[in-house]
Amino acid sequence: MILLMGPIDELVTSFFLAHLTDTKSEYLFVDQRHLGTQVRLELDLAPGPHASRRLRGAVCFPTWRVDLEDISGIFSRLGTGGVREHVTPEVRAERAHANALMDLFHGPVANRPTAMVSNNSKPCQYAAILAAGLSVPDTLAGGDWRLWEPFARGLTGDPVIKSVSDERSLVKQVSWDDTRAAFLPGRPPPPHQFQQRISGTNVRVHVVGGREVFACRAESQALDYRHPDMTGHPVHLRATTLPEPVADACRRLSCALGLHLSGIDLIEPPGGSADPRDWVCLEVNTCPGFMWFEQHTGLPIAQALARSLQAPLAS
Amino acid sequence: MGGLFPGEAACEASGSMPKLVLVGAELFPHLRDLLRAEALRAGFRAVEVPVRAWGATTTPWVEVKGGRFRAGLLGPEGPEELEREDVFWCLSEGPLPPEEDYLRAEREALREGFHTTCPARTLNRRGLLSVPWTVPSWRLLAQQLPAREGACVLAPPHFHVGTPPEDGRRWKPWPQEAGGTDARVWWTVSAPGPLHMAWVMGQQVSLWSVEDGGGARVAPTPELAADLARLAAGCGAEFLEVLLVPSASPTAWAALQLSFVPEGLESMLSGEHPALVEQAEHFVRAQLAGQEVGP
Amino acid sequence: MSKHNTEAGLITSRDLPKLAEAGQVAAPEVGHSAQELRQAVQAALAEQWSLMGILDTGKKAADLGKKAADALTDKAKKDEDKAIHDEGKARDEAHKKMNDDKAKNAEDRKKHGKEAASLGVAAGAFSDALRDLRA
Repeated sequence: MILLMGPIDELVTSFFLAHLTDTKSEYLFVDQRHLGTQVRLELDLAPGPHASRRLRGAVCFPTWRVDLEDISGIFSRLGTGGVREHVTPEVRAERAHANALMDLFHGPVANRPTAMVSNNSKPCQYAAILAAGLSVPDTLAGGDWRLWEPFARGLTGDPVIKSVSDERSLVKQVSWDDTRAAFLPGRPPPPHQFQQRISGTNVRVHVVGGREVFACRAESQALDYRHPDMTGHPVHLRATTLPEPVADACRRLSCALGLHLSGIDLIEPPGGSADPRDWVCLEVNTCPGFMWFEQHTGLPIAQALARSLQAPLAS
Repeated sequence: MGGLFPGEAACEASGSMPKLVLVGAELFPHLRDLLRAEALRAGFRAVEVPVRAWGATTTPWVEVKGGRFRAGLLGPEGPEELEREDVFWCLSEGPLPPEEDYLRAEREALREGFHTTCPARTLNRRGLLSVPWTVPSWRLLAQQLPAREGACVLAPPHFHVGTPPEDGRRWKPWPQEAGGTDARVWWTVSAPGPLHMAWVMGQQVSLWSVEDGGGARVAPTPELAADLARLAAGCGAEFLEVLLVPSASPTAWAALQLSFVPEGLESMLSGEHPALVEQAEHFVRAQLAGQEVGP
Repeated sequence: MSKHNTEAGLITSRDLPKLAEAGQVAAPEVGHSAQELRQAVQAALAEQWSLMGILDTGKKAADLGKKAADALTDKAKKDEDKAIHDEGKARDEAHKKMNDDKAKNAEDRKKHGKEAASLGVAAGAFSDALRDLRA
């Protein structure tokens, strides 16, 4: 059965739960608020063959338990939904146990906590993106005017400015003069990331299990299509098919980052191309909110995810 | 060109000299002396960034243009680029100074990005794609061992997470000193022998008995040396310290702790251990020359 | 989500006042078996979809009179950001502790000089634990 963890009324958690219910799939649900209060995890790792083959343990409820041997795959939305909790040492410990379970579990996990951290730093992801055969925007992160000016001279038009980390920031296009004026003279500027603005169509790709690829175009005039209301531009989502070399590059990228489920933001070059090097990858979302894309395009992402997490385990 | 960054060693320099850039070397004074001496011998300019300055007053920068990375440091004197012929070793990295959450996350992300993408030859590369820096140490032991298929002699302890088992065995809580974790982790080893420390530097492995603070060199079996070297390679580490004990049978060993920071080495260098000094010199020399360190 | 529900109405920005935060629906009772838990989940989901106005798209949200200040696109992005950020925080904590310890150990050693010549606090902790295990 699938182990699903998260707050029950978080969008993607409830969407996926509803899918499992509707399809009569076997699952075990652990609400985030029960971890450390009503649910405990027990894990045991005796020396022997590889960790993934010797993990034993159980998800323990007050009066019943489910052995890990009965779990085929794990989907976690822990930490989403902004649930306010009273975080006791027990809660903290059980969250850490859940992270340990997800990192050590022998079957598929969407996603392992250690695989999710790459999104904390965009330049870290760029290394993986380039290695997978896709392109990244010309970028300068950090530095000061002595580096920014030569970088700016190589750009076409004004740069886009965005955060280096995963902290939420509004992606903006700024002029160099305004940027220069915004920083206080004599003080080191805070870190920023400047990028070449890329023209083309936004394409969101979800890769499930390193194999199945679901792509949709997000047609919008907005600089960041995920924030259309801020600019007044509407967004239209529709399913699309990627050229196979581009889909392969997405699979490679998802696997390289160790992600069972990824949301890859691409820009398709004007006129299209089958060469992955012509496609620019902006980032890889390691906890993708796929529900919205599925609802608007009909792409069966939840179904693919459920199928992949139910796959029989190799002995 | 001395004084480019705070704490920089005063060395002869020219524009064409490759650099040995060290972060946090002041915390390891004996190793720092060794590194400085080897840099001088190899014609490298030693650049040192104190751990407190790293990410605060000396900040990294990263550029990618046409798919090619450039990276460097920006100190009070200006930007410095690290190139392929340079060598970088971040021996220790402290927390960033307190400031607004957003800025702190940005500085952290920049440091991580620099570690991942820096084109210089890097020892024990950090960053978010490197397991030693993203996985708690007890889990790293559990995940990385056994380090190879077949007859391995090096194993992790028996770990239990949750409430300690009541199975008649003695279980010890995972010490916070061995790497903080919120998890309730318990460990045990069958019939543990005396404490040993192994140093893996490149492919070279040395083993020392360190019970009761001593430091006697012992010869590792080829199987143990191979397991330790594979363990370091699996972690993507050129330098690794392993705390281990013989366990259960005369040939079986249990690894208790992995350290990618040369804490133990610094302690040993402060004593009279010429064989370890020689191993460290050989390792650093090979790194500066861009050579593999053979077994 | 059932096909019926999906056809009844897509989530739109009008639903967002209800969707902005999780925590409005109580965690389901864990019961005495997986079966009982699943029944409680189904009841909680029904409450959730009802609150979200899926079966009556947007109406209930509009009834609340709240302004849909954000778009679902934004919400989805926020969810992604939030989850990653939380994981990041968890990791930062471990990372910070590890490095703090290491920096501190090194500073302690510097302070004590040659005489300390220990292999660090971790080695000391394991040494103590091993004594207990051997006893």
